[in-house]
Amino acid sequence: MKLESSGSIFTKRGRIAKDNTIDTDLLVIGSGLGGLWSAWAALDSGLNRVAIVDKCSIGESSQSKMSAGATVYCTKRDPFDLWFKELVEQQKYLSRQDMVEDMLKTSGQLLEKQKEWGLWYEKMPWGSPTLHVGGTKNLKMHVLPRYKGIGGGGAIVNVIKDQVLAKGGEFYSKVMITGLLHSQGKVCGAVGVDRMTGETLTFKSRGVVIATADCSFGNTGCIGHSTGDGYKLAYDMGARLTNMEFWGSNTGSPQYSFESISDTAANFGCRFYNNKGQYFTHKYTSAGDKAEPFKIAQAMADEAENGGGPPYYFDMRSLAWRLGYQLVLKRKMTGFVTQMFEELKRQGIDPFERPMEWVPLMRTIRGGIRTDMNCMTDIPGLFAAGTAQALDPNGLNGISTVRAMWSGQQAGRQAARYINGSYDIKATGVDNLSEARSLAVKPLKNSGAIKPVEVIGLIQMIVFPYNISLKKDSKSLLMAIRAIRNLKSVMEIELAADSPHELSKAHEAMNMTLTAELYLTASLLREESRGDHYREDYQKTDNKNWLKWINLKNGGNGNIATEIEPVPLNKYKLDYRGG
Amino acid sequence: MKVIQLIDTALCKGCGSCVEVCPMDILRIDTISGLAKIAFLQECQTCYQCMVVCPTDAVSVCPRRKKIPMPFNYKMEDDENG
Ligand SMILES: Cc1cc2nc3c(=O)[nH]c(=O)nc-3n(C[C@H](O)[C@H](O)[C@H](O)COP(=O)(O)OP(=O)(O)OC[C@H]3O[C@@H](n4cnc5c(N)ncnc54)[C@H](O)[C@@H]3O)c2cc1C
Ligand code: SF4
Ligand code: SF4
Repeated sequence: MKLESSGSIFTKRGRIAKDNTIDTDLLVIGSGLGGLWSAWAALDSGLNRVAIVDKCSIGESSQSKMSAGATVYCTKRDPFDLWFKELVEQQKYLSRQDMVEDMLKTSGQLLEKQKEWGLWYEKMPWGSPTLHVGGTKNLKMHVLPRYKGIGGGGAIVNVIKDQVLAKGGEFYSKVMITGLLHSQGKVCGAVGVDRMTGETLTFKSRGVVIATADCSFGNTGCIGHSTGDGYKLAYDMGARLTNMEFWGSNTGSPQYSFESISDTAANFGCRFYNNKGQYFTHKYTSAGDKAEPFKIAQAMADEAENGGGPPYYFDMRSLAWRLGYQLVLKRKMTGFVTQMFEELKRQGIDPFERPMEWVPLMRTIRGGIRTDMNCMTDIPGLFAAGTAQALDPNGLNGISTVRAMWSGQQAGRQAARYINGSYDIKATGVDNLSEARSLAVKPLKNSGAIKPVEVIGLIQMIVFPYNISLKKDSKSLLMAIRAIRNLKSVMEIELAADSPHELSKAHEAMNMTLTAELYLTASLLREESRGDHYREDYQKTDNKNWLKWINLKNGGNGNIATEIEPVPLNKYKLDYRGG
Repeated sequence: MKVIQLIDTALCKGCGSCVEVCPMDILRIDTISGLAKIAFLQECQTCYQCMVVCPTDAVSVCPRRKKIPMPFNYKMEDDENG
């Protein structure tokens, strides 16, 4: 199946001076929905120059593009109060309710705007473009976006990418940002390396938006390039990160790229079995197979202790699901699942024919960079959007895309406002230019013995064991913290790269190491179980003591400074009134 | 381990689209032949983006993915206490 691409994917470079410096008003790092919406909003608010940089291809390699593009839009006809309540409850009262409220209230306008630009949603056989969000009672999402002959995430990415191009946004692909620049405590640009040539590029700007997504520790979902880069950029600048103890789990096939579909599939009658061919999820969660994905993953962990698996199986033979999926497959979707179906079909394999082996899978860290309502971080001039920003700890299908659009728009508009009223960087100079440029290429200069791919393998061995990921306990977490710190100190001396490719992987390895340390530190601090965060030694949700956020920031000398902040429920629309 | 399998040099026109989109930075244009090549096979994540974008159907990706880290593969044990 061939897809048309809107705009050339070789929209490679904007205006680069001879010394590899790019002067711009705003620099946006990352070109998924978060980054593209930031760029559009900044240009729409009157900024002249906005540079969008991506370590892969602009828009084309993002999670946003690979996604199905299912999105929750709360239109005038939808019950806002009901949806808002359900979302806050799903997020276990740790969401930024002010943001969730604004996001939901304005999401209908986002839909209308995209429709004006040519996006449309296909109707399902029952005449509506929406479907229930799996694991919820009321929330609905628009499921089949279409734009210029493309379906899926590619449609919602290309519609905004075209708008950014039309407004004169400058695209820099294959440039990985490795460090931020600052001037008198304010962010004023960034340094990056060209992944093809290893050259260093300097972006001088008056504001920066981080929209680099989350961290998957090189794991599933074809998001091996989501490596926590933005977390490290913000951390190094002294910004706080929140909810880092939440690592989203889901379930999927160990053999094929079939994952995170079971929550929707369960609504169509698909079922989980254990190794004895018995249903088992109802033993651990009252919603059974229709429970939230992380509960299914945890049920698999519990069932393992009772000898019921692995392996587990997922039965997709239900007729309704088969028909529904065939409907989706007829569309030109950009997500990888569609391509996988086609390849399976070519090889004569029918995934709807018999139950498939199914396992728990860890996906992405749910936490992110703490910002205010305007998506500005603690550091003047530094904004965050998309899943790099902390908004809620519990990802739901359809929410990640709308939150990326909302936070992107918010960050872009506020960045424009900030930049219009701010000083001229040329007058003050950059405090850390030579340091940032030398750190960008440091692994190339190192003659050490460890290669980035080895480090990534070691990080995975530390974070993936199930007593660290699915069912944590303090003893295991302390061991893992020790291991990651050892790795960090070895890496400082030994991590070496001998090509531009390895240079970018070395940075990814360093970013993942920090993300792992933040994840482990916050996981140890939260002495209760809540959502994806499950502590074997504190199995209950403790609303008395833990309706709190854990904020982490750079404490200097290699230490993480921690802060526990009560969620201001008294100021929020929805207070917790339980026990 | 199955990942990107093949770039058919008879079909490849060297347009570079696959190199451009690959999120894992696996592909390169060969400086001598001017055609695409698989430079870092081990890190491929079976995401099909190269295959989708190729205008000449030169790229094949196998649907079976490489072994992925899973929680059940191992448990963290205290190495000091055995
Ligand atoms: C297969 C799949 C299906 C999904 N389906 C859905 C769905 O149907 N509905 C839903 O709501 N959500 C879905 N999601 C989740 C959702 O797509 C993402 O959470 C959301 O799109 C993230 O948007 P973003 O802009 O934050 O990040 P992304 O879209 O991932 O964009 C981040 C960009 O930053 C770039 N980048 C990272 N680090 C650097 C750096 N150092 N320098 C330069 N660039 C960098 C990356 O290359 C990437 O292009 C899905 C995700 C996947 C992977
Ligand atoms: S399948 Fe994905 S990761 Fe592998 S080479 Fe193609 S684009 Fe790159
Ligand atoms: S996209 Fe296809 S034609 Fe273009 S370089 Fe890659 S393999 Fe060759």
